[in-house]
Amino acid sequence: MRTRNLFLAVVAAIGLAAPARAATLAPEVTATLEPAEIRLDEAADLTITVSARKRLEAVTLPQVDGLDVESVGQDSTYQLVDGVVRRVTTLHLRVSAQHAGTYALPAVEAHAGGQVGTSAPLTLVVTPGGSPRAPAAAAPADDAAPAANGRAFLTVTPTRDEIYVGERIPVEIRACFRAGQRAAIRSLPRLAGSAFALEVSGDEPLQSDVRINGEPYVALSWEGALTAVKEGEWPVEGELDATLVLPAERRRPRLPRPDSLFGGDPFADDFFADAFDSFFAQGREQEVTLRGEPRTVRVKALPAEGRPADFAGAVGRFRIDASATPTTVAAGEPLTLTTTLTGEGNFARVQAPAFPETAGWKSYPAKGEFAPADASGGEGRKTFTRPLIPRGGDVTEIPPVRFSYFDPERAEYVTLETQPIPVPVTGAPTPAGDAPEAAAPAAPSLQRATGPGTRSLRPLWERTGFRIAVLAAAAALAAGLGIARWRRRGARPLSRRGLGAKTDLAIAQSDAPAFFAACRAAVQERLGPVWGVAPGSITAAELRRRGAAADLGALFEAADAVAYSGRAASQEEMRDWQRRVLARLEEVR
Amino acid sequence: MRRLAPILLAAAVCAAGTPVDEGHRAFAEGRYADAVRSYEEAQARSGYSADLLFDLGNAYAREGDVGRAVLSYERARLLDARDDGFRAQLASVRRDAGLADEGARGWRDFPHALTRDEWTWVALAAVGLLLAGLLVKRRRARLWLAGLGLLLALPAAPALARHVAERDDGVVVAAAEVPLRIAPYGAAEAAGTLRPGQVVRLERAFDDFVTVEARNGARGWVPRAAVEPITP
Repeated sequence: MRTRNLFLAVVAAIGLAAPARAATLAPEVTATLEPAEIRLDEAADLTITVSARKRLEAVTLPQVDGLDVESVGQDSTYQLVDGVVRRVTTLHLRVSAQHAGTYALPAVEAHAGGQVGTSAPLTLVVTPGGSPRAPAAAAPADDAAPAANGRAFLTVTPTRDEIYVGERIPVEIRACFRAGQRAAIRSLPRLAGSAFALEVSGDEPLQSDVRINGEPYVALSWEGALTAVKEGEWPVEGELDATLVLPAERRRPRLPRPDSLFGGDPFADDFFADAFDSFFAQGREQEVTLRGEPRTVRVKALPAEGRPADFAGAVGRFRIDASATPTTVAAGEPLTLTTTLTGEGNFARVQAPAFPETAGWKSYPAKGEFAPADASGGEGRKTFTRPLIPRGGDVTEIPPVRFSYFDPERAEYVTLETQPIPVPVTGAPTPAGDAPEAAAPAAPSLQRATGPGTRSLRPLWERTGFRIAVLAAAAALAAGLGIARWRRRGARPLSRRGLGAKTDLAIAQSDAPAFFAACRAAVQERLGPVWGVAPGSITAAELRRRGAAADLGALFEAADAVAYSGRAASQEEMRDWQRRVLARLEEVR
Repeated sequence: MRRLAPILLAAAVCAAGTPVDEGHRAFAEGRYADAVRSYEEAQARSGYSADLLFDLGNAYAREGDVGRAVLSYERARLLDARDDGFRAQLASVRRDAGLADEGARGWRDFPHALTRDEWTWVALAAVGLLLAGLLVKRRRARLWLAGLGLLLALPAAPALARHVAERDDGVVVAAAEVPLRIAPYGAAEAAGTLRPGQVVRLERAFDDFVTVEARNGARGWVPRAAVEPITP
């Protein structure tokens, strides 16, 4: 009852302390580079943290010429943020450079639930080897001042000081508050740094009264497990967000008690009853992050020597067992191979044992299910079920399957192997549709390879020859259009201004033959394209036949008279003809 | 005897047969791995052809390599879109491998009534007709040409857009299911799995990994070797 009330109080405190805000669906991505400046012979830790309400699908890593990005590991946990559960996945990578210089790491994209989140871009400065590094920025002020004063602190105690990468060990997490200290917890315990992944089993801590250095404390304890992510010696330091109420000189208005949220009186606990009764009524609230003395743990790399080819990262101690149901099948009928891995270790890294490729069996992907045997999930059983289909009637047994893991106690790799499972395959091959053979074509008569092939399956629009042909066609079209336009322009009849200038000159020189010839040519060239006939074929008779204006017919006759009979024409007459011809040409469309 | 040597050599070559013939023979005798080798040799010699890809897909299917069977059928469809045999075999292999039928049905699948190259020619013809319609002076001819061009352009535009979108599709060719990892390295957490024969869209690559998006929306990193592009 005490712990339940405490849990409710924690939840209430979380809900009241944090302002309600709508949780976004898009994943929140943060990327940090530590340090941001390295020497050429060093590497920086790139930590990418993705917090999402939906399952994380993919993270795109920065790809920069001259930079090598190497995966170190990852961990994931769940966080309750503003009343919304978010899955937080942290990727640990190491970044090293091939050359000195300043590198811009682009934003990291994370996809979750169809949404995309991006981080801020980063910059990595790489100095030549041996050059001094810029001094680190001053550490931020410690906000856990009350902890330093002994009001509250947090300890994370691993059970061992030396572990392997990927190994999972239990830890005890304890938040201690001096008796009488009013406090509210705003988060679950977490670890500072990126060398370890912490799993806290359950949100509800156990409460107990303890004495530390003779002082009475109230301790909240969680069970958890620590997984080493990267090799090296690293401090294990926990963090916990809390709000402490410190003595204040002035009173604050009392806030209503949120009893109605839970019904009854959930704050009757000795520790929190008093705290919540007057938590917001008196005192000065201070949000702090509880920390404690870090403990150093040495993380050793898994040995490369003796690593089996099928090793997939499992670290711990496991046993394997396999069974099949049904135990007698007909060829083509499916059965289920169940492989069970029992033991203790990092089950998150335990993957399905591969089924050996054999001619007699068709195997399908396995599905895994983990059943923890303890609260921390360090012990348990992971069961993989894999559908199998015998291809023919000559199959007698299911071949052994192998599973390899690293045993940290023995410091060596262990390969387990199941016993062959006798499975007499009876009966005739299965009807079409059940056996894998049914997936294959019905008969070889379907074979029909004939004719020459093509060298490329690339689409036409990607082939150089096609592109050149299209461009050539487009160029030819454009050229044709240009030529046609140029020709039209060349064949265009004398413009009003051109005709006027030409005839003006003839009038000024009293050159009647030249005047009438120019007028005749202008009419012919104007009407020829319109009628679709050769300009030279237009005569006075043609003009009459096509019903052209009588003026034009008279013009042609006058031109003939001037040309062949030597008839003279006055300047006045020519000006009159000039005016009439220009007017008629304007009318032609 | 010297005179007979070329004749005997030619006879030996004829007796050995082409790689395609050898593939047919191996297939008929149930030696599917040999059939695959022969068909691939034929492909290396003479290039891709729809029928040869179909034969290769059949051999892969018989051998139990669903991924490469689907890949071969999909490639065959790039060269011949209207062959019912390709479509039926592809559907059969997918169904028996437990893969969802990812293709559209009915009129919505009209882009696959022609190959993408055929649609390209149709689109070019449409553009040509529209240009011709702009150039001719006779009103009736102009209307006819423009109408015909539009008639061709209306299906060609969306069909080509679909084929362009499918240009980067690939097929999972791994022997077993492939974990979709959240980051491009082997120990990264798996966010899902892909099955052999599943068609995915290939996105960006990073080292030996490539991002893929399945048609059900699942996205993640898989080893580059586990996926082969349909258009090599």
